Amino acid sequence: MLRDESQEQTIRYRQAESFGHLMAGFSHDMKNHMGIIRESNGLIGDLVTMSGAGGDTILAERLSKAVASIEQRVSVVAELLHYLSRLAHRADVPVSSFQLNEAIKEESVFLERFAKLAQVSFALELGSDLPALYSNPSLLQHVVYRLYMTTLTTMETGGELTVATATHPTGVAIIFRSEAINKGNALHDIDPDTMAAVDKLGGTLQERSTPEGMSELLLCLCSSAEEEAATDGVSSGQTT
Amino acid sequence: MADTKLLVIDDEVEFAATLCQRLNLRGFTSRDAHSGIEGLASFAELEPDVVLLDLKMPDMSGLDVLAQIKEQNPLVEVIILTGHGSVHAGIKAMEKGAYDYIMKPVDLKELLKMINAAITKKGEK
Repeated sequence: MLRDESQEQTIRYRQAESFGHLMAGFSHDMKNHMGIIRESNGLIGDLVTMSGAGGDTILAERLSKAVASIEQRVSVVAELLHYLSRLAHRADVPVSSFQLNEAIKEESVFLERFAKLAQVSFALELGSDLPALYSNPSLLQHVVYRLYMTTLTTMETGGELTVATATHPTGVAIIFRSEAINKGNALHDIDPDTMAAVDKLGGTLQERSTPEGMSELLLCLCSSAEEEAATDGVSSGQTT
Repeated sequence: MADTKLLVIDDEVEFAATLCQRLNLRGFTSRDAHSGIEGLASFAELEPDVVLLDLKMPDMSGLDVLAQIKEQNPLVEVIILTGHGSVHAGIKAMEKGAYDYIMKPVDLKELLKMINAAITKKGEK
């Protein structure tokens, strides 16, 4: 039975790794396509500017607007691909030292869409001077996605969901703050697999209300320094 | 600026050709090559001031091309074009002698600034 569970875990890990590689390849290819679109569009813009569209000022203006519009969209897609690529490469190294805000920022670009679909407004508040984390960034992003979606399903349409990062006595915290017009209780709705993943990260979950009447679900994690201190503590305990 | 010679080495033919056209419209003399081997041959022939080099190509890695370019002419400046999501690939290339790196899809204004800075640096050597 234990062997089956272990095998199941390995299969899931390999599955995530494969998806990461496929996603990284896809984003790389898309960047190349976007590069061609951007340069071709830029060349049209250059030629319109140089030729003045044969003296037809209205045509020149229309073409310039279209070129600017394409460039604007290319910029948006380029940024999305940049974050997608970073997200995909997170699975390359199972455990590493990383900045929490970077991991949350790249994921939030994709989380925002689900809030829009649920007609909930989304905000991101990244705390400053957060200590680095030594953990599994890909697993953390998985947990953040699960907690975000669970919080979202407990919210009413028109609400506001904020994902925030902050320092915490244990290290750092990721806070899912929602208006207290919720349909349910996020902490009780979290599935056992996500709870197990939180444990694997060495994290804890807390729920609290703010004086402003907001509900907050906190995922608290140890910073690199705390993690090292805890490891030192364990090893010294074993030797004495 | 017409005296400034640029070499674009990228296996994406359409991208490299269009980028060259845009650079030429801005007064540079640029040429494109579409593989590492073709790039090294063009490098020896053109003797460019600045090379724009893709990191991932089917026949040779950009880092290997960079090493050979620097071996042939340590004064030439190389700007890396990378589609990698993280900055690590670009930083690794800079450690191996690249002047700078730029993420794909390339922002031409940013690239022009980089090229001009690379030319200035080359002039100071």
